[in-house]
Amino acid sequence: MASHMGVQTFATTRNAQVEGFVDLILEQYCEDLRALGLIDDYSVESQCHYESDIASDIWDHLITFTDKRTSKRVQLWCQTTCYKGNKLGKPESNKTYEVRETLVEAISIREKLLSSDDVIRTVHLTVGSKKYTYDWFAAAKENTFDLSLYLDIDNEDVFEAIADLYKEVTAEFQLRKKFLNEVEKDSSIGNLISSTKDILLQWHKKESMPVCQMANSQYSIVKNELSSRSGEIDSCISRSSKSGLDIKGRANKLVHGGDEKDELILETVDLLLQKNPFIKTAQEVVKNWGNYSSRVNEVLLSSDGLNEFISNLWSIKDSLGLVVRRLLLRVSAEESVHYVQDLDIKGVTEHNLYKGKLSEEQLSLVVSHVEKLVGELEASELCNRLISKKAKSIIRSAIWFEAKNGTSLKPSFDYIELALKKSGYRVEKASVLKDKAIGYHSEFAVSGEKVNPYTNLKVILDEDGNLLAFLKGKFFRQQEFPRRCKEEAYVSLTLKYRLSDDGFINRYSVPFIMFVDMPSDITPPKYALRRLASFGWSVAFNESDILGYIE
Amino acid sequence: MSFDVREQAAITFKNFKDIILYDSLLANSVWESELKTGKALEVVSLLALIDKLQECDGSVELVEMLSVNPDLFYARNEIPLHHGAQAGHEANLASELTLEERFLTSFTPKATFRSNDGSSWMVFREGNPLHLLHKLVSEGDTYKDRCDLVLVRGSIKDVAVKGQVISFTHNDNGEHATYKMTIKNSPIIPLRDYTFSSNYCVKTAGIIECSVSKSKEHVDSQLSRYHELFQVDETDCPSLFIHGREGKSEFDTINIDLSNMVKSFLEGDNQLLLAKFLNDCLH
Repeated sequence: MASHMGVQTFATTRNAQVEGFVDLILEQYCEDLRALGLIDDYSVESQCHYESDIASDIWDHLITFTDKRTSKRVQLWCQTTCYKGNKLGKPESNKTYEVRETLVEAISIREKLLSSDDVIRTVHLTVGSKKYTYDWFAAAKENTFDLSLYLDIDNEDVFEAIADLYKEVTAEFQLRKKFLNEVEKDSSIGNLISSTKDILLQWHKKESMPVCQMANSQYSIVKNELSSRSGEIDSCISRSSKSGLDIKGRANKLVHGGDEKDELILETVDLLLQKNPFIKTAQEVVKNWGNYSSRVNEVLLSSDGLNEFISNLWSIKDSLGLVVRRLLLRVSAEESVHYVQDLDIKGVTEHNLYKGKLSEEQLSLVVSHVEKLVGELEASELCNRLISKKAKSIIRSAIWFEAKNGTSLKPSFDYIELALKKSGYRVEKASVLKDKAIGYHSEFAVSGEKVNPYTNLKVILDEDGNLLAFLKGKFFRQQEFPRRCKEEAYVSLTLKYRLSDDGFINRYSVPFIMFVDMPSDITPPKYALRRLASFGWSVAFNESDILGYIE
Repeated sequence: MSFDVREQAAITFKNFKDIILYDSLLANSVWESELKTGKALEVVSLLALIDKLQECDGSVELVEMLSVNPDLFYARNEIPLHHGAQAGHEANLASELTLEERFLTSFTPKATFRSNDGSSWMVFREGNPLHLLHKLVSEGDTYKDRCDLVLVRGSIKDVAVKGQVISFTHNDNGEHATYKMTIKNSPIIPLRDYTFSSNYCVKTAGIIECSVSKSKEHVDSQLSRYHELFQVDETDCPSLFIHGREGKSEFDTINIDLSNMVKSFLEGDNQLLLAKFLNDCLH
């Protein structure tokens, strides 16, 4: 059956190839430094684990050598990010999470940089189109890493050029040979290798690897948070074991017909079904498959040919359209379902694909896309496919998947908001504040790059409208716990402080509260919680924890 | 059920008692899995083969690290590769073995037999790594087939780890090859460098395929494929099929009674077949 994992497989292969490519550039950089007599005893390691009280991160590369000018050992910790780009050249909003994680990793490792006898620096390499991510990322990286590099080729897909290097290559020595050949040939990928290496050499030889002071300042906030709130942080860690309320799990069970006595969970699920009417409709369709099949057959009878049949189905106006549109895209996909943005249709996003009203042009492009997926079928054959057992099973999977993963569905957040409202507090979107919820990284921007306010952030107000706290609520699965903490850490750090002429100062005196919903039987990793808290969040596992912070 | 096989194996193959009774995820996954998975049959076949080698004219050596960390005995002789769809580096972090250990294990034989005339043979499980590396450097090609047990001429020496580079030499009666690999998760074999003497080649001396469920046709075609792959000078190496059911392959077959697995290996006819196989391999 069509699987969303396909996209992940392509991405993993691409990332592994890029990592190997960067590996060779870094090795050549060291080899050149050694040949110049500047360094000794070098090694380039891949996938290195950096561990501390607030981190357990894998860095793509660690270069170590002895600098002969100072006789000191040098460690260069390097991270690589791929921006694969799309035909529309539009920024990919999901990339924001990955970049936040990278920035948090870079801030966390400053502890080692500031306390070690070795010379330690951090380097970030971005491979691919800069356009694919928001403009402000470049400035944020420059202020968080000691060196930030961009690797791309004009008028050529850099990933295809790297993939070409891997063609018919089964071992590292073959790759190295091809890599050096390209440099000799002066090909576009060869030039990219040479120019990247030259920037690194210049940074090393002429500039003596300068430290990014702004990165140190950002870490100093974390250090202060850690020491000034040590009691609160230790207490949060000690009560964290098996203290999850599992709101999301319980809400899900209820969606799938389970029992629940907690009134608040019942209200939460009502909200959830209102927000995603697909779930409710799909459940009815699965229950009354015969009725659904008749509707699809009716559309078939009133359509002339495959194109019109698809177009008429896509245009069904009532809630059945939510089910049919999903099936049109999925029932003929043999291997993998691509990301919605990869449809490359201007204005069509994951937010409006199934429920939005498309323009005539968009509709015609979507219909062509489905036609391509369907292949050489008659309209009647597509109809049979849409009412087949496979179609039913796709809808069942979609109910299961969307009840858990919908981007607009936040049962954990809804639940805690309802609970606080019942206790007499006002909970509003953070946009009610005069001051927009924009992080301090907007101040790094040098050419007017725009930073949008944080979304999915609320505020708790007292009866008179006074601000008591910022609030966010999220479900943390065991496997994703550290990653979630990492991506959220950046939000509180950048919002709680602002950049003044004297460095970073507190922007708000109220707590930033993260309601951590998680399965009831898990014990979160200590370092992950400590990271979340040291970057500014006050961690709550239930309503009473929240009241403790604000009362 | 399998617990009895483990106990029986520990009593029968005394030299391996500590490895057999080692309490770890990897070891337990062999002994505590259902017999129909074939995991226990493969490991008992390996133990029976090494046990029989001890009766031959020569001595059997076990690399020390296999006794220090018995998990390495259970690991496959397979060069680690980073596969797509393993999100991030989960495989590396979650594995019981470090990446360095996985690389070391990939080319470390489960046992080495040295005959009284000075020749050596090695036993590998689930892979023929030296053959794979040599095929890669001599023909630029690789393959995914992994026979269950294999005997290969020669021995491994000069194993060294320096930083992220691991190196070793395969020596067979004066002919030798040295390989250097980078210890890293990579989608391609991270072989960075190699040298070999002019007449070097990997001589596969014997192949054993074990199964509790495969059909005769399946096993015959598998063994024929291995013959084609490992053939040197147009000579097929000796082969043996160890079957957890009734029925014979066109190759020599030992039928094992799974309900009495270890004792079944010790039965007269089966011991004779094992001895004949080893005699063919070593001469």
